[in-house]
Amino acid sequence: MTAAGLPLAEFQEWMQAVIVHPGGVDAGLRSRAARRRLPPSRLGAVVRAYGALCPVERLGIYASMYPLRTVEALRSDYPALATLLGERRFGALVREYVAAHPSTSFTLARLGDRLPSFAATWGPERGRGLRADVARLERAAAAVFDAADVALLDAPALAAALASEGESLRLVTAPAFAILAVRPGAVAVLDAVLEDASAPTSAERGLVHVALYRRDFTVLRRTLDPVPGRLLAALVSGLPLAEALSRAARRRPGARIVSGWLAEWSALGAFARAGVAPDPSAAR
Amino acid sequence: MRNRFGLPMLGYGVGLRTVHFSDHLGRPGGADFLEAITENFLDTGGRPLHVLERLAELTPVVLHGVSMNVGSVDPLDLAYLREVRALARRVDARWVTDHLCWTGVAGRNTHDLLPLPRNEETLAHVAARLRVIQDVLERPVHLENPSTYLELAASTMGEAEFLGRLADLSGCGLLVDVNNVFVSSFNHGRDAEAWIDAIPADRVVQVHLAGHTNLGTHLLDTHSDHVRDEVWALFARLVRRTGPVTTLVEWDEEIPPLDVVLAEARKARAVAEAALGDRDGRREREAA
Ligand SMILES: [Fe+2]
Repeated sequence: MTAAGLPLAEFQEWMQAVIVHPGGVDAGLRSRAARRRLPPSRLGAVVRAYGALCPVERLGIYASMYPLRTVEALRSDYPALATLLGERRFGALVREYVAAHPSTSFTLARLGDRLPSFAATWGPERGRGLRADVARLERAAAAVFDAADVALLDAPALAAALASEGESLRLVTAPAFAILAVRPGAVAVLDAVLEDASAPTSAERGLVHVALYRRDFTVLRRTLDPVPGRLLAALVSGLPLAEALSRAARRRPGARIVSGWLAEWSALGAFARAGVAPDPSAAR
Repeated sequence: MRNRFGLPMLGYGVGLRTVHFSDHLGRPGGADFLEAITENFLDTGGRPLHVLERLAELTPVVLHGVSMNVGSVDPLDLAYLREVRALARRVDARWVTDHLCWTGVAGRNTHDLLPLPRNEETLAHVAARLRVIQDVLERPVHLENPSTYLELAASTMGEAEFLGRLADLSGCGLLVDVNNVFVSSFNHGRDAEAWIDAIPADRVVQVHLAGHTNLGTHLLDTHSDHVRDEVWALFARLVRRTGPVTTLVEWDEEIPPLDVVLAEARKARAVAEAALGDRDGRREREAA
């Protein structure tokens, strides 16, 4: 250490370790990462002492803003999860999550990318699945909101592709479309938050398929019946129609019914084109 | 005086905020220009970008970033910079700004504007990075003075001097946030007027105005309120040095209806015109 402060690189490592510590500024100063660069007793050699606040209090201003900023960012991405958990528990979830998965992106919009899987193992076991499903729905809605605007496969083009390909038809999902299988209670939680009501506890079992799509840049949601839900999920996963149909139902729905569903989904903007999506891992 | 970059005076604008999207679309031209937070439009192909593109067809847009991380010892994020360049082209941004700060190290982003020691080491480091950044962006970058809450023992010069020398070394311009000058000066017991008097006026491309929160022991840069009288006075003092300068009102917390923010921008115009009238009147009297 030089007479006045630390070299720039060491100073930055030290200050970051202090202000992002989940235990607060005092714990941050005593943390191993911080002490490696500066023993707490030498704080005055780095941060000047003057005025109404001591150096610890000055660092504390930065340290206190970090949790506020991360909680606020994740609350705006996960309003239903925040409502479901309540202020205190949501704050605790965010603190633990951000400590495990700090932001590495230029945008706070990416901070919550791994919150659904984190929520699946966080907190009391009871209710974990529901919390994770609410988070998955909200994450998917954010992705649909931000997805690129591309040309879509409309119903006539889809009918033509179906006529020429038959059951070997495959479809490429539009970027601004998603389908998820979730607990029915998760849908109820989202509805309740939208309507500003309290969520009923759902006794329904099993999973429902929920489609998320975008209209005029607003994300909308539709819950599908079991057979069309499974069929659309299988198509979105890239399976050809024949295989998707046998996954969806033991007894095959009639061709007219299937083409009606396909027309309905293309009207939601589900498909970008017929064919096979390029495998992103093949490009590497 | 005109800035040395030959950049135009865009007038009196407001920061583009999501809650005001439909107001701007419904009544375009309410502000002389709009400032968009760069990062909010980089990672989206959805409504925000669509809105910004439509507004940019009607109103000049400037880009204001919070994640360039110019002061960090981490390698520059070239992918980020290329995305900024692409966005700037897409919306015909009149210019690109960010802050004199670091936001994170070791690959992390604290999403805060963290203070730098103002000494020769930092000066050389930031100037070298700015030259690369401006090469990648293919345009000058203009840096803003952030609000700060601590002073480092390793600092050997004042902020205005540091910014002036940095601008000379790197060719960057300056975005003077007058509220930040006031907040930092209060927090560190320094003279805000001396700061304004020391900044190289011909480097000032844009000005920010905003409100802050007084917590007794210190001021917090919250952008949650009207501009304070002391900040208006500093703004007038700056304008007397720079001449008419592109000025923007920022409001980020407890955001009021757009009309309130637009009224604040109109007040900025009135304050600037009054300050320039005083100045020019005085000059005429002195000449006579
Ligand atoms: Fe600012």
